[in-house]
Amino acid sequence: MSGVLRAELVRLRVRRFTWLVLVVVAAVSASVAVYAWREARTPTPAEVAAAHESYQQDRAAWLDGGRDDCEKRNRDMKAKGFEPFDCDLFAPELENYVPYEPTWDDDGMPYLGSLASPVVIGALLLGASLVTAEFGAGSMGLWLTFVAPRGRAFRAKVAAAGVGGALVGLLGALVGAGGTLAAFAVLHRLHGNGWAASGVAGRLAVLGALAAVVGAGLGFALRHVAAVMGIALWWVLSVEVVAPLAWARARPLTLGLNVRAWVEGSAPYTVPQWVADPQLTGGGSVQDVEHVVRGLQGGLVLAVVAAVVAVAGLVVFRVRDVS
Amino acid sequence: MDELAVELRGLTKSYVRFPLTRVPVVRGLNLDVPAGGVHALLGPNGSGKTTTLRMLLGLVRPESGTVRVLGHAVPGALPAVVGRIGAVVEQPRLFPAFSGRRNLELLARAADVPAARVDEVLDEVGLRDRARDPVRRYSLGMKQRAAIAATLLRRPDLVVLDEPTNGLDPQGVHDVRALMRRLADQGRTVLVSSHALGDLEQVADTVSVLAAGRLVAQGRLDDLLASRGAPRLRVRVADPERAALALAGHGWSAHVDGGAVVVTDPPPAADVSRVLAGVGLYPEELTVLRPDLESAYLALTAGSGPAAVRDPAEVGS
Ligand SMILES: Nc1ncnc2c1ncn2[C@@H]1O[C@H](COP(=O)(O)OP(=O)(O)OP(=O)(O)O)[C@@H](O)[C@H]1O
Ligand SMILES: [Mg+2]
Repeated sequence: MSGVLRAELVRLRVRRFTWLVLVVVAAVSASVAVYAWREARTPTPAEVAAAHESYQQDRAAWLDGGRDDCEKRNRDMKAKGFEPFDCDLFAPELENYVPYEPTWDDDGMPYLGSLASPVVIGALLLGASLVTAEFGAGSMGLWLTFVAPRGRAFRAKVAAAGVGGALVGLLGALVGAGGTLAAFAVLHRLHGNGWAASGVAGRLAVLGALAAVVGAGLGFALRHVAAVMGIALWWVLSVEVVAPLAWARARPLTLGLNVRAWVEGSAPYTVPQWVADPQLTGGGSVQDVEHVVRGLQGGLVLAVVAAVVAVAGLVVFRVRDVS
Repeated sequence: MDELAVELRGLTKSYVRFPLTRVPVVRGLNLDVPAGGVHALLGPNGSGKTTTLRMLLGLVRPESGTVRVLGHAVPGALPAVVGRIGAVVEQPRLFPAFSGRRNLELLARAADVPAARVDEVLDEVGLRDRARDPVRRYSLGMKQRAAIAATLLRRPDLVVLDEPTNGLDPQGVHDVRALMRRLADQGRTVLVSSHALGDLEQVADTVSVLAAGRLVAQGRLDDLLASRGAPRLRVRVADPERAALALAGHGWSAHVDGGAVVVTDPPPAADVSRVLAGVGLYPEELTVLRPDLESAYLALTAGSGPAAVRDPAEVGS
């Protein structure tokens, strides 16, 4: 490791802002875990017993006249020309009484997707401020009298930002995914593959690193953390939200969808499309057709975006004066 | 010593001022800084000194012209020389939240300088006691000292100091002056920009003077001062008129100026005393007036005040 990168990593470690971001991301991730603890609760034996009891009562009532009432109403309806319906659908079933028993696969894993937002925002801020603080304090000039060429200073800073972002992602995973997993393992038999959480942790780390690189790249290009935040907000509002409304096919390029695909493994989206009806020649209708962004595709899109922003930051940094 | 530490040729830089007018701040500057010794860069506020120093450090890109530092083209070959340069440009800019020591340690690490060197430079600038305080709590002079310490970390061949004595107490000014002399005596080159002409006069070997982005004088300090004319002798006596007549009678050119006699191209002071005693006048004071850097500077830069407050079209044209 070069001395420049080591110096940047030390700076990352001793900055208060780094710790602030880590604390906030940990707190937000913890709230995800807390929510999961509430949802993961297994029904108590008393609740199950009560459920059985009310099932028995309803069942008895159903057999004792309830079913006949239904059949009678069915006959009346038929007389008025309505389609008859199946009264068995209304028969009480035990499974509708017993409280739902959550499983890790269906109820735990989907929580982990919500860790992406705090990780992305935290890592972006971390990367941006690592760079902009130096422009703000004017110490970039002094730094560049020690490190040349500028590309070298740039690489070390972006790498340090990436390391910081990866730590943000890992921390989010440790607290959020770890807490959620613990909730399901402790309150409940796991019912699913707990190891999937480690995969999420790895993907959150990569996501954090990429977000921090984007933050650092924007920091080099714009030099003010407020400007970076402004651009990010503008992007979210105009490109992520409005553009897909105007042009649905752009949806697979929105970062939100790709982030979800990357963290959760895949992300579905719908595009209104003309679907021909084989029974009508030349006929058909516009329907929402579901498509899927795969995990790897999402990761690739994010990596390309990070690379493009980083290169833009480098180009601006190399030509602009530093005072 | 023919070798040049810094060689600027045809250097030009202008800044865009809203809306879209280009204001030239350095105009075709040719500047030579000989290797070894203290070189003073002088000029009024806004004359382009800091901009020039930034260009030779590769921080600001010139529009045209070439920069060579220690024999290498800048910014192209900057990586080859950056390790031999130490510089503080304008205000000392360390990380305000970190202590002086931590700042220096980070720089030392980046420059692959052993950590032990940090204590040495802290001692050299007299900041060891306060090294643990965050830089944001330093006084102006302490920040200045910390920044100078940073420049010394790598034992540079070229030290660039932009107004290094700004905010320093008299002891600090004296220390910086001694430091510059010491560096020069070790064969290093010190390029210093400052308005403290009295201090520079004591320490500078060569000078260059900028006015409105152009070079108006360059050379050895002694030569510059000599070109301002020979020393003169000021004599205070009871009757200056009669004294002037008596001295003129001996073929010396003397005139009365502000209640004293001023002898230009003067003979030895002892001869003057003897002649005056001969006519019954006894000097109360005899002072040799040498042209100083301040008067030379003022004459060279007359009429080129801060560029910013003047019509750009008129400055230096
Ligand atoms: N980043 C900048 N953008 C626009 N104009 C600038 C910038 N930096 C300097 N200038 C202008 O360039 C001119 C020269 O400035 P510079 O700082 O080089 O002067 P200086 O000789 O160092 O003055 P001083 O003695 O006051 O330090 C000034 O008119 C200044 O306003
Ligand atoms: Mg200046």
